[in-house]
Amino acid sequence: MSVAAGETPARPSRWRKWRQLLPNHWQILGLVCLIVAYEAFAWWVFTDNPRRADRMFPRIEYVATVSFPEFATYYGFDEGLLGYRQNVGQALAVLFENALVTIRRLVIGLVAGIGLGIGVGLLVGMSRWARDVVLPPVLLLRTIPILALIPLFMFWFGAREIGILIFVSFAVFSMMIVNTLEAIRNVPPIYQDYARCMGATRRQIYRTVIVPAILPSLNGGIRVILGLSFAIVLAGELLATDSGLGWLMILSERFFMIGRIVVIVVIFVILSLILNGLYLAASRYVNRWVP
Amino acid sequence: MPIVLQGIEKSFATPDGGQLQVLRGIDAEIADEEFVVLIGASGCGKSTLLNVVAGLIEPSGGQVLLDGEPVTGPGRDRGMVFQQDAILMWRSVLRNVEYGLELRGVPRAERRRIAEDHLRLVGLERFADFFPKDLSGGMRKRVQIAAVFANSPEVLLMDEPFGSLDYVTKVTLQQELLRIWTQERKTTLFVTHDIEEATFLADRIFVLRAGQIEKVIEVPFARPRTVEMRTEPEFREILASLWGELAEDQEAALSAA
Repeated sequence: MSVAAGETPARPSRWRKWRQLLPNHWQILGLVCLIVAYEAFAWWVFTDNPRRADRMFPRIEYVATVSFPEFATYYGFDEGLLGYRQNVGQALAVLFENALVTIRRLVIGLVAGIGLGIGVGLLVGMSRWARDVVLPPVLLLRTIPILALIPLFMFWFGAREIGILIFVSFAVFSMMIVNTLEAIRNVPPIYQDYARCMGATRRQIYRTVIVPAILPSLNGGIRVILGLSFAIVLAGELLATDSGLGWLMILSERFFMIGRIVVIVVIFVILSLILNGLYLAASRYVNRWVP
Repeated sequence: MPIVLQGIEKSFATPDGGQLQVLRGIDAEIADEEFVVLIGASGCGKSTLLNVVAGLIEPSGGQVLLDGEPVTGPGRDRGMVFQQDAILMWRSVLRNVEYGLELRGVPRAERRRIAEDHLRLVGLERFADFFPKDLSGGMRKRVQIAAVFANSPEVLLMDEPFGSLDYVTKVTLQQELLRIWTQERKTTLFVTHDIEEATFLADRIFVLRAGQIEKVIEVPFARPRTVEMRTEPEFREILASLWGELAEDQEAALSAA
């Protein structure tokens, strides 16, 4: 929106900006198509071999009415209660409790990893030699597939909470610091020249120029990291914990309960949509100045 | 604040390992509250010279004296208006104008008042809460000028500030600049390649060629200056002599190539 000198300034309405966060008609149609295609395939498998089909490729109805209540099986698990049960309330409690555990790991890992990545990036980003010292080892570590590090982390920290938190933070950090250094390098030098001419000290240039200027370029990297972070937490939980959605998933897999896995996948999708939506709303506000 | 340029030289290393001498011994004195325009063909070193005075480029030889003190780096006593948009895109118009005052720790209420005064000076008071992305090129230039003046520098440095604007916007901004400049007189160095702009604004015009001051032209017109002045014979005469200088340059450059 460009405004000529004579016109009265006008702004787009708030609602129109926020509505962009929700899916439009076509996007909803796409989602409906996906669900219909899933159900159609499940029905096709079902008619072919009704007895085994729901165990292989469960219909939505089976997932909702059989698999979902089965999570009650794990209710009171830590008190030694275990047995086949179907109770919607208890199932919800189990899923909710474990989802909270996973969200907590995710959020702590993301906040620590992103915070440290930006922090260390800013510390070394402006000095050529500091960057030269820090960047090569980070880049080297990044060539190791992050999932290959899980056994190491298990050795070092055991299947304890701190182990998975450090694992997630480390994975996020190693992606974030590269992202930050790249963003700092891309700040147009004109801004720094301008700030210096206005009388800014080095520290003031950091605070008033570098930090705000890198935010939009960090944005893209953070969104990728948010997407990957679920995979990282899940991987950690699959291998090295006794709680969380990933752990429920590994139990379901061991007992060949495909329907339960579908339930957890759906929960992951919902969580990931919520996280993305929250982040998008926040980043829209922070980056509202970007052309 | 008077500026003295003493034997300023600047050479850059070229990719093939040689040296390119951009400034070859510039000597000049600019009086307090004088408006000097540096003009010359592209590559003559005028922007480099301005950056040396700003302290953004260190000269290979010689020095710049500001009120007798040698320049060692950039500082808020010299406000610079850049050719590109240098205003901070993430700050609203008002907060851009407050920027220099904020750096100095001027209390919020006072810096707001000063910034609003300067926004009014450039006619942008209604756009105080806008982000730069929502402004036209000419308005962004106004914000930049307001921001530099609000920081109350002693010396004003302008590097082809209106180079990228259309003719009408350019002429309007030249007049506005002179109007503001008459209110807050500052020693000014203004770089341009536009001979009409130079003649309209300057007390004296330094014509640069190959890193040296080739000629100094006095512009005798009284201030305040008006648009009508541009059609007067005396004005056209100065244009003609400037044209002669620069065209000669162009021919020399072409025959050399």
